[in-house]
Parts: sequence; structure tokens; C-alpha cells
Amino acid sequence: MNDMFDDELRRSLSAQADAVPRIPDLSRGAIRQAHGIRRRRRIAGGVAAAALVAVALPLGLKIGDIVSRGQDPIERPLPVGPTKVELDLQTLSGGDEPSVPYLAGRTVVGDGFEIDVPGTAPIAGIAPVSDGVYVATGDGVPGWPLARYSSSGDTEDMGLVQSTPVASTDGRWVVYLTSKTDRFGNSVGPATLVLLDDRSGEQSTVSLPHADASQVDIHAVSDGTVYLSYDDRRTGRAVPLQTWSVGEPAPVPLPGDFDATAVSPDGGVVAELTKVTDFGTCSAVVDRTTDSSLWRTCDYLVKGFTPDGDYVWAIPSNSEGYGPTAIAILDAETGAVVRHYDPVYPRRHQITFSDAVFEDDEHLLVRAEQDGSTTLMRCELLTEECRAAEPLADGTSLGRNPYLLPDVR
Amino acid sequence: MNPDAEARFSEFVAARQHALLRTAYLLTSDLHSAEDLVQISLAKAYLAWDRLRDPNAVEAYVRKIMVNEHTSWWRRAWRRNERSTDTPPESPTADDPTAFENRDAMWVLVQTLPPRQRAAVVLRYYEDLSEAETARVLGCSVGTVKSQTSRALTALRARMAERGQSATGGAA
Repeated sequence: MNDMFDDELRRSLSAQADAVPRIPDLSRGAIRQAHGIRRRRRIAGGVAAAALVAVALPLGLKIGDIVSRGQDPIERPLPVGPTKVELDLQTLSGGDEPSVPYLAGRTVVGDGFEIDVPGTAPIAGIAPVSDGVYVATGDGVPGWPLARYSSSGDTEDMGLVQSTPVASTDGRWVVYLTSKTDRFGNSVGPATLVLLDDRSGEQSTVSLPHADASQVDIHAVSDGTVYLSYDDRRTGRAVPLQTWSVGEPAPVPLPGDFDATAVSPDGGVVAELTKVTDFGTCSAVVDRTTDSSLWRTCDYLVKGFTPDGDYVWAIPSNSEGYGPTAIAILDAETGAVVRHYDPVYPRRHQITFSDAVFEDDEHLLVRAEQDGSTTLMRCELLTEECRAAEPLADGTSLGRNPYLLPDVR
Repeated sequence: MNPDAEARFSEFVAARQHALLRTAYLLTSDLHSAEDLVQISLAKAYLAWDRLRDPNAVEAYVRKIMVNEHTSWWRRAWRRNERSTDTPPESPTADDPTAFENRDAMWVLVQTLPPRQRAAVVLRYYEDLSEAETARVLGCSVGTVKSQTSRALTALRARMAERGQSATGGAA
């Protein structure tokens, strides 16, 4: 029965595809369109560069200044140096290894420890905690076996989960999803969100009746509170940002109906999509504590905050296709572009910035691809410098991926 | 782009354009949209052509752009038109009068699938990609591919049953 159904599906798709007529060669049209895209990017780049200069000047004039930010009692220097930084991954100078646990091949490399993940199953995700790391392996069917590896060498089997784990920036909390599965590995019934206090070992759970466990986005985890959104499994449509804290019976939608792309670790600031057009997206960054919009941008899509919430990393808002070809750090309070990284001009090598995570309040660790190879590079917020934290290695997200960044939010 | 590279791009388009168009049609159900989808995907591949040094990776690269671009189109349309509610929508009937092929029951139902499920089905059952290859194109885990595909097949079977047709029948 199943085979016959599958055969019928194949037949139907092939029949439709066979009926597609041949059309004139698209190469000229594609090349024309490519030149148009390049022109628009140059214009946008010019506008962005002008904005960058405007932003860079006041920053440059404050070289060495110590300023306070809002109510933060800790004084910190402001970033200095050029705002626009051009990169060639092949010529990056070497720097220190990442300071957060990361995956190189099958080895989780952390502060003072290396853990070889046993077996041959692919490693789907890692979430670092204060003295170890949670590692999900396998292809997700019927779930990902989750294990906790401590820096002292102990291993704890956590059972099968239905999402890869996410850790809080302070390394105390870990979140993952579970659900019942059928024999095909499909999540059935409600998803269950699990929040682990790694310090005490306490586990709290909440049911998400209309969520598919594999489709829940965890935006931030902090002090026993999780910020999440998901696609309603009945409709396939996004449910606005919700929050859930230990002890509460169910997640609560946040006022504002946020289509969140990132949430600050304390949940106080939300980056949300406000507009999606044929040429990209527009976003707003909202301070929930004052219910005020801090800034808007149609140039960037915000992806993550520093642990102190003062800065964000972002990608160009029109990043589609294979992946973003530039990456930026912006001031979370003002939207000022602090750094904008893209390939060195002329663009003989295009770089795809496939993932990033703040190591701390001043260092962004970026997974970047160039010419079929991948590196981890560290970019310093306070200077324009980027250095290779791991050397370029063969493989990309299309296959033989050599590195994986930790999932910290 | 230097002339050699441009020639290689044109050769690639000449050789693979029709195959890409077929897949694009299965994703969009509309020939004009499929043509647009292929052209914008090729344009974006052209911009990155200098870094596509592995000829075997080019088609996978373009296919990934195409699927992501289509998902992005769908999301834009949804953002423009709808917000989420607690009530599931009626299933679309996919009754496009401009189609050039007589519809069969299965194809009508395939068009009711959400875009990610539909992409998974097209890549697995038309492109014959492995689960791992499909996961790389969709940018998700193999588990998610299995989940999306299985859910799509479950929905197709259920809807086929609703239409009072046997699971093996319904062909035009």
C-alpha cells in the first residue's frame, strides 16, 4: 500500500514535470538580473557606507573614552577604528582558540577539556554549561540522543529529545523539546519544553499543545525563563513571541505580537520583523521595559545579542539563497553600525557567514565559508580586528562541515 | 566575471535550466513563477560563481537557493496578507486555470501542502535526493526531513481518502 502510494506520488510529480515546456535560454536574463542585484547592492552599500562613516566618526573621536551606558554601573570603552572591515579568510592571521566550547570534527573543545564524542553518528548540536556540554547526536529519528559530558570526564545519558539543546549565556540553563513519536520518528501529540537547571539538576517542563517539537524557536533563556515562538502545527503559521517561567502552567504571549528574530538574554529587548518585501525585510528593536521602539532598520536582520544586551549581531536584510555574505555588529540601543564585515574588494572570494555567537560582551565568534572551506574567526568589538580561531578546513554546510558553534541564547 | 567563467555559467544554464525549471514548477505550480524562480536563483548563483569551484556542488547550490527563495516568497506573501490565528485555515483547492497539464488528484493535493513539506516531498520523490541531501538543501536536520516528509504523506493519504478515492487511484 505504502509503496503503491509512493509510486503514485512519483508518477504524479513526474507527469507534471514532464509537461513543463522548454523555454528560451535564461542565462542572459539571469546575468542581467545579477548585474541589477549587484547595482542595487552597490547603491545600498554606498548608503550604508555613508551611514557607517557618520556613525564611525563620533565613535572614532571617542577613542579611549570611558563612558557609561544607561544604568549600567560598569564602565566600558567604546569600539574604535574603522566601521567597515573587509576580509579574506585565506589571509586571516591566527588567534586564540574559541573561548566557548565548540565542535571541531567529532571533538568538543572547551576551556581546558577536549571530549571526543563516541560513535559515528553526526553531531547535531552542542550547548555548553559551566563545567561541561550537552551534545545531541544522530539524525533525529526517532529523536536525538542527548548526553551531558562534564569537563571531568563524566558522561550522563539524557535520553532521546526532539530538538537540539540550547544553553543560556550564563551556562546555567539548558532547554530542549521532547514529544512522543510514531514509528517514523514524527512528533505526535503535544511538544514538551524541558528546562534544566544545570547547577541544581532540577528539571521543569511545560506542554505546548499546538507545537511541533522540531519547530520551536528558543530565543533566550535566562533565570528560569524561556522566550520562545513556534509554528502552529495545525496551520503551519508562526505564533508570536511567548514567555514561560518555571512554575507557570503555560507560556504567555507577550504584549506586542512580536515576530521575533532575537531576544536579549534578559528578555528586555526584542528584535522583531516588521515588514517583509521582495527586496528584504525591515526590523524594529523594541525595549519591552519601556514599551518603546529603540530603532528600525531595513538594512539588517538582527540575529543575536551580547550577553549584556548592549550589542547585536546582524546580517543584511536581503540575505537569501545560500546564506549571508556580510555580517555586522550594531549598537542595541541606537542601531548604530559598529562593524560591518564583508569580503575584501575586488570580490574574488565571496564569503558566507553561516553562523555566529558572542563569546562574551566584546568578541563575536563567526563560522564563515570561502571557496569550499570553513573557518571559525573571532572579531573583536573594540577594534576592527578579526583573527582565525580555527584554521580554514575543507567542507561547508553543504557537506563535511568541519566546525559547529555552540547554541547559546 | 571573466569570459571563461561566464562561458561556464552559460554552459551550466544550458545544460541544467530545464531540470531546474521542472523542479521549480513542482514548487510553485505556475510556469511563470517557476521561470522567475529559476532566473533569480541563477542570478544569485552567477554573483557567487567565482567561488563555486566544485562543478558537482553547483547544482546543489542553485537548488538550495531556489528552495530558500521560494520559501521566502511564500513567507512574504503570508506576511503581507495574514496573521496567525487559533483557527486552522481551509485547505486551498489549488484550482489554477492557467495550468498547462490536466490535473490529477495527487497533484491537486500536493499543492495543498505547506511549502516546506512540499519542498521535502519534491526533493525526495521527484529529485530522488537522499534524506541527507534533502536536509542540506532545506538547511535542516535529517530528522526534520523525515518528519516533514512523513507528515506530508500522512496528509496526502488522509485527503485522498477524504476525496473518496483509493490511495492508488486518482491518476488523470
